[in-house]
Amino acid sequence: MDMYTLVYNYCTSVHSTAGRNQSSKAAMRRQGNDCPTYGVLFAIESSLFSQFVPGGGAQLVGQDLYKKLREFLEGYLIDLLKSGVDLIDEEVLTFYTKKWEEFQFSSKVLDGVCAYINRQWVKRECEEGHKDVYQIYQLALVSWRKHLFEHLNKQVTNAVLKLIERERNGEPINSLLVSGVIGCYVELGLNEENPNTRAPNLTVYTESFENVFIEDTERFYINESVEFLRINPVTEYMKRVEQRLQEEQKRVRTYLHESSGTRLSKTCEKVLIEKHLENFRSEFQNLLNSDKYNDLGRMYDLVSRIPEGLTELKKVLEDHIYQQGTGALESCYEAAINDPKLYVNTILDVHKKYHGLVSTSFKNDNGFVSALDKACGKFINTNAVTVASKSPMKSAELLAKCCDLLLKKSSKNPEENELEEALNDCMVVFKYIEDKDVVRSFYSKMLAKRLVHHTSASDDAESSMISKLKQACGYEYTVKLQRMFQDIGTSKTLNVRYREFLRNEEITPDIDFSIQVLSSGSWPFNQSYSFSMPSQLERPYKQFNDYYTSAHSGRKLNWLYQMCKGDLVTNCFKNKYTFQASTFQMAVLLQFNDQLSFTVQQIQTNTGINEDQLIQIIQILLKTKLLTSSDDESNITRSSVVELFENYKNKKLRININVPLKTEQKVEQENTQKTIEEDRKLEIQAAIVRIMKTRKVYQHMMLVGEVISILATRFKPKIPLIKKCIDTLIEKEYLERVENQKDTYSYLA
Amino acid sequence: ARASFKKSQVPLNGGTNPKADIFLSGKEPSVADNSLNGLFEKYKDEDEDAILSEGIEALCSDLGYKPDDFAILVLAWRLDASQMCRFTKTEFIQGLQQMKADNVEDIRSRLIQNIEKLKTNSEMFKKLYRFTFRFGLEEGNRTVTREMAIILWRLVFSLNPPSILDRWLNYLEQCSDMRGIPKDTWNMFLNFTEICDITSYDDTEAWPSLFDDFVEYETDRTNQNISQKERETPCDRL
Repeated sequence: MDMYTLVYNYCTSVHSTAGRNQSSKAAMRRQGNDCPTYGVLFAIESSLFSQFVPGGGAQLVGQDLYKKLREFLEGYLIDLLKSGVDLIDEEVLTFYTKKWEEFQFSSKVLDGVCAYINRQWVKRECEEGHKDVYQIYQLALVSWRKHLFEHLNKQVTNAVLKLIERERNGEPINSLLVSGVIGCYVELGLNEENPNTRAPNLTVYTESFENVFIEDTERFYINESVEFLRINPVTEYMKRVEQRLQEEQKRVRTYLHESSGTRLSKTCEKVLIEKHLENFRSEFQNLLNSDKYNDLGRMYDLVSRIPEGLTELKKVLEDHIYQQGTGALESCYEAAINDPKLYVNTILDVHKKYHGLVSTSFKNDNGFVSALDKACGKFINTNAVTVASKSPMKSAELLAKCCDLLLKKSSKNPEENELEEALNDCMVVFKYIEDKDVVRSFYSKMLAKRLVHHTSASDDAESSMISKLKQACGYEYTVKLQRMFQDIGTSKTLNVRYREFLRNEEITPDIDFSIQVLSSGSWPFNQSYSFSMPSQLERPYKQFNDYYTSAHSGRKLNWLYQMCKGDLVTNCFKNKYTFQASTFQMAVLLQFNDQLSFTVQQIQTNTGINEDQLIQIIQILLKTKLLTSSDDESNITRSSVVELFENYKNKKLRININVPLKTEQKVEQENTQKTIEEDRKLEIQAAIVRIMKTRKVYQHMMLVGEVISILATRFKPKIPLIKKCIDTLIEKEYLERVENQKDTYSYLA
Repeated sequence: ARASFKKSQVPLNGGTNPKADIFLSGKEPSVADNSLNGLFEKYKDEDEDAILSEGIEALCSDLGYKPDDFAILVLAWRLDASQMCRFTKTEFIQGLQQMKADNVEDIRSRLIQNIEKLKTNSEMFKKLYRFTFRFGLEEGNRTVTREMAIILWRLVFSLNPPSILDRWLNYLEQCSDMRGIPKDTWNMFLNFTEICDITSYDDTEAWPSLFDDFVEYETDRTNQNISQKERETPCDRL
């Protein structure tokens, strides 16, 4: 404060400075003794004031003082340089940082002392456009730079670099030396154009240190990485790189300027990772082969730092998963082809394994997730099983069957939450299946059977699965499944009401009768063959028909005899057996109430069942030993004679003889195939019409592309099929070719 | 032969540029309705007011052609006949008026002129080609039967058969369970003959799917032939 007053007084009253000058010197000396670091400043000030000769007007006073200051700084620094110029390595650093610290501190004090000049004279000079006039602190910095730094910086920088290299080689160093130098370099970055702003200008730091440092780093790590890889495996190398990158980050934090962080890590990444990408790639495959998840994760972390670095790895991963998937199915395809659970679980094992890898080691990176998806899509849709069964739709079929096994009542039904989990797993596979329409087709067949035959393990599980499918593919996909589900509910109440009706009408039913009314169109059942109903069934059949048509006028009932079944209680054998039989079996067996022996033809006339079927039904009855024939089971003809086997015996009293007919199964399978084809054609045509309706005129390739993307959630339409559908639509005059543009269609409203 | 045709046509053309469309020249005196009616009466069926198979056969032999000659297809096209083996009175009279021909000799020379033009004028040929499909269509049908299509294809290309034609027709003969040829397939076949190179055929392009099947069939055949030859060669040496 005293000093400031002195300068102020000096500047404002120039004529009587001499006396004050003395006192100021005295004041400075006084303070100087207290604190040795002030030494430089006092030297400056005292020499300044002692040499000072009062000049002319007040305006010029500032200039004189400024000029003296500058000259003094120059002299001081030139002297200082002499004592440092021969030093190298750590000595030069010690010298430089120590002197700098003193100098910087003194300069700040000086700046404070000269605040009046800064505010008045310097400011005015600057405003007038004098470029080489600085605030006093800046003046000190500029002088340091010019007289000391410029001569010494190469030595100093080199020494710093040597120190850093020593640290990289594991020696402990005095990092204060480095940070002191760096701090100085940063401070020296003056903004020449506008010296009075304090915005950081890093030119000195960048040019005199950072550039060399980066080059040095690059050289160091090129050598190190090559040398390290020569003796060590890539896995060790990765650990080293990880460690090195961390070290360099720490280096930036402890003693470099923060602005170097990005550049330094980019350089390290380039040298340590990008230059060795080939090694990484080839190691990637090895790591996958040996399931080294930690190393894979480390590799991901490293390589993901390189732009586009992962591209190759994604491909390797995709191929690997595909190989694993196909391999797994290849080794069990003979069993899996008839074992839906084995098939689905084999797929899931592969998926789970790599899903785990991708989500933990690869942090769910989008590219890796899509590599996983692509690979799964490929091997799930085409693999040893689909090839062996010669059906690309086999995957869809087996998945649906697997769901059926889970949802059907059996002794092995899992617990509720286990079941839920298993169904979720099925949905994982479902996501990858291209032929989602095929899954639905099989699923709806099996659901229908479960519902009609009451073999569902749990209604909750059924509806949960339907809602999962709905979530995946939309409302339309599951609308029929849902309707089927509802029909069963409605049928339950219907049965209750019908029984009530019978009671009210005081009708005693001949037989215990229950029914399910299924809305046509939602259920995947074929029309029943006609046959003449056995008289015992005639009455309940008519009763219900009458009840239903009077309760719901306008509705027509079609009876699905092939889905019906009943219990037959026998009184003709030693024991009283109960047979669970199909309608047709009942019709045949009931004949034997009248007579013990028939020719096949007689039975045919009586029952009206068509001959092919009848023979199969009789064959089954022969197999169960309920009937006998002198002809061999496989040679039954219309003239064969069959008799009731009166000595029938069975350990069980309740026997299920209702086994599906072979032809029925075959027809069913063929129908599935056919309906799928037909449904697909319709869906494609509908998609084309929808697209063309909005586009009006559209180019062939674009149309095909859009059709494929619209139908992606259902199935993957083959291009020839799309073309056939276009042909059909042209023929039906929904579309026409634009004249003279053979690859463009227009929509005909 | 071509030069002599042109010479003989100069007077008929009334001295106009022989390249101008003869039907539109209009400088000739209009043909007399009487003579056209007479001509129609001459070939007309006894019971129906139209020229039917017999009449057409007679007309053909008067013209010096066989009924299945290309020229007769051209005649049907010029008359814009809606059905095979049948020219209605309107078709016959209006068609001949347009052709500016009221006697057999004139019809004949007009047909010759037309055929000459069809050899070079692809737009005109395209019109004839498209007419041919309509001509072969049975009433109420959208497609021409396979057998009829084979005949018509051979006929319409009789001037200048494209190199692919034989293989194409051969293929169609194999496909006995085909429903028939729809119009689009017929029309596009003309474009198809223009590329004519099966090896560069791209089945993702907008061709009717029958061409895809055809090209696949042909490629399979060629491959088989090659492999057969490969198999044969060593045997030959032995």
